[in-house]
Amino acid sequence: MSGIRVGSEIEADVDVEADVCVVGSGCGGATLALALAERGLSVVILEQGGYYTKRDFDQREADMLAKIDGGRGLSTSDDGGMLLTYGNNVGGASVHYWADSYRTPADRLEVWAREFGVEGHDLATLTPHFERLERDLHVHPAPDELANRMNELFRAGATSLGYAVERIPQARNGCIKSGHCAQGCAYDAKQSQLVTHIPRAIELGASLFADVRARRLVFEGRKLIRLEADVLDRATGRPTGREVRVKAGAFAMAAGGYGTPTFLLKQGLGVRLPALGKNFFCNPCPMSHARFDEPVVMWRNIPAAFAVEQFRLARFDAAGRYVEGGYLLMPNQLHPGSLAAILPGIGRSHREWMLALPQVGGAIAWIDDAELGSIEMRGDRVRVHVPIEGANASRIRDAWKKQANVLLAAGARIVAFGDARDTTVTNASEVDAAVAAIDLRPARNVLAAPHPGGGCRMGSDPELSVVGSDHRVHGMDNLFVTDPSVFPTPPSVDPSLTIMAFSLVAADAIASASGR
Amino acid sequence: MVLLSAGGALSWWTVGYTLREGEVALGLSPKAYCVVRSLVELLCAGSDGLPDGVAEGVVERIDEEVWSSDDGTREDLESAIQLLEHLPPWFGFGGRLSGLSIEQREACFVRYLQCDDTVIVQAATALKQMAHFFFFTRDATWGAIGYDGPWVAAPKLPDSGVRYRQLADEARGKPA
Ligand SMILES: Cc1cc2nc3c(=O)[nH]c(=O)nc-3n(C[C@H](O)[C@H](O)[C@H](O)COP(=O)(O)OP(=O)(O)OC[C@H]3O[C@@H](n4cnc5c(N)ncnc54)[C@H](O)[C@@H]3O)c2cc1C
Repeated sequence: MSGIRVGSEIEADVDVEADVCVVGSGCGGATLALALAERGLSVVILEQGGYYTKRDFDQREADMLAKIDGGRGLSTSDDGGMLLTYGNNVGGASVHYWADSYRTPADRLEVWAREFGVEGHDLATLTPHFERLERDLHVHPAPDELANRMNELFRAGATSLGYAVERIPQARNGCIKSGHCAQGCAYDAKQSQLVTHIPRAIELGASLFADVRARRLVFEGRKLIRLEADVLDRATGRPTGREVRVKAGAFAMAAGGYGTPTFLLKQGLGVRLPALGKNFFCNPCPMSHARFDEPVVMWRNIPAAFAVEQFRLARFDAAGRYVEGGYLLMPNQLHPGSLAAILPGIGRSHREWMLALPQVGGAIAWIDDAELGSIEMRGDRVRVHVPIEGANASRIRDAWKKQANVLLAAGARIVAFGDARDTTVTNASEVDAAVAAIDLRPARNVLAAPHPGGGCRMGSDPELSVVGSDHRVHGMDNLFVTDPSVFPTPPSVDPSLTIMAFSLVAADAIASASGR
Repeated sequence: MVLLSAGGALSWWTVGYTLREGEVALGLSPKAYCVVRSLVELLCAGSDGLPDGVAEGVVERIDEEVWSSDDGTREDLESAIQLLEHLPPWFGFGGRLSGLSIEQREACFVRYLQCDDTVIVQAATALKQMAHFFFFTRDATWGAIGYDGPWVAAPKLPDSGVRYRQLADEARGKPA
């Protein structure tokens, strides 16, 4: 696509000038770039990952992990307790996301306003942005014909337990049900940023550098005057020695929930912004795996058509003790390689699961983090800390119980939790005791973290937050953050639509700071 | 992390680790390559209609992954492998992991996965996950597990994979 230059085409240092420089091309960055280009501003986007299109999406897990996953899928939290999953490509994590597209619940926006002083991101302000995004991305409730057998079993099991089952809003157009959403849609049906906001921004004059990693911010007092970036060799991920230098009126960090706090910490900004890297959340995802008598073929059709949303908010008793909930509950979709990596056991016990793979299904939950973690630099290494204890642990255990009960009610013969001791249950009466006994110490369980944020919390107090309600970094004239790093807490639903709506809000302040 | 540093410190002991004909270690040290081979023999055994993991190139694919990783990840994995190799005596097994019989290796590895030390669990889990992932993403395994395969017919290697293969061929003395 003209307007996109990839690293291998950059044979000498490049100097660029633009009204706004955006770092990161995922939901946050691409949506911002589009909103600014629509206002007639010149925009340059820097993306450290490669530019891949549907011709590169070969649906092979090992190939695709290497192309589009941050850390090639090998990143974990500091104690190995959490698998960190994030984007590293043009379009960011939207290229491997499931396309679940929830509006931010009103109760959460109220908490952000009331408890954290967030202004201008209320439901009335965001609603027109949600409407626009839903039109742009063809968001619609999942129809039955996209559901796979695992989705149907999940709905049946949950319904039989008396849970309300909702259709998940999906950002898709012309889905042919290959099931390879997580490896990049080879049909351009999933409405990732790669096929929506990025080409539209480029049509309006934005330019994008792929394989280019922002390295250094150069300030004059409160003003950021230049950004220096390394051109990367895609085959090795290492700098080629060439540089891209950008002068712009305003700069927006949209490097994602892991990338933005890390980058700003590397600039030494932690000294004057004590909240930088704190308050980190990631929606830890506990999973359960189940064997059914019938084929469920979980890897085809869309990942999750239905969800149980009634446990989204945690419920407490009159004395304030936790009762249940604090997560969304959904059917899971994984492909053979990932399943093999996380199914229980080695040797014979692992083989039994693998040889029955078409009958294997599962459930997943996004935990609404109650205990927050942190991102820190130790020397030149990034340390992500995610607490799997206290209130988070209670929610994880409760989610496992609900998952197991749903799967058993749906007819599962055996349910496994993927923990180091290979805990399994075959009957609902065993679930509570089995889950209570699971060892939640780090590295004993497979927990994934696909929804990072919080490390640049929005708020009015520079001691407790990193950006103000206009997304501007405290104490800076023209440096902004437009990704989920700014969320004061997790949004309690999949975050993509919230991220994009926040970018649409931020565009006004960024446009005016750019001097245009 | 103290234990991982110990793993790093054990890397000097290289006697008895020899790459086989055709093997090249670009990401792992030759010793770690041999240890990973012994783990792949254990975790990706050719039975039940499945091919043999070593013959299928799983060790080489793990080496490619390590070669492609950032320095921190590579150092951690190398140390983790060294550690697993030298720990069996602490778990009641005589000898190094790669030298144990398959039955003893399995028993020892299960002990690693279920032991009290988080660093050992983490190291063993990482290796188990990589071996299983790179085995069951080989198309030769799909028939046995009932996976009907991707809908896109032709694989397209990542740039890192193309570069790794070029370098591996050069190291084997084959023309690029
Ligand atoms: C498997 C999976 C499934 C998911 N499913 C859903 C779903 O169904 N619904 C939903 O709402 N959400 C889902 N999510 C989460 C959602 O995809 C992400 O929250 C969202 O896409 C994040 O957008 P972002 O712009 O914040 O960050 P990212 O998409 O991570 O984009 C940030 C970009 O910045 C780049 N970058 C980082 N540092 C630098 C630097 N120094 N210089 C240049 N570039 C840099 C990165 O390479 C990356 O491409 C899923 C995530 C995963 C991993």
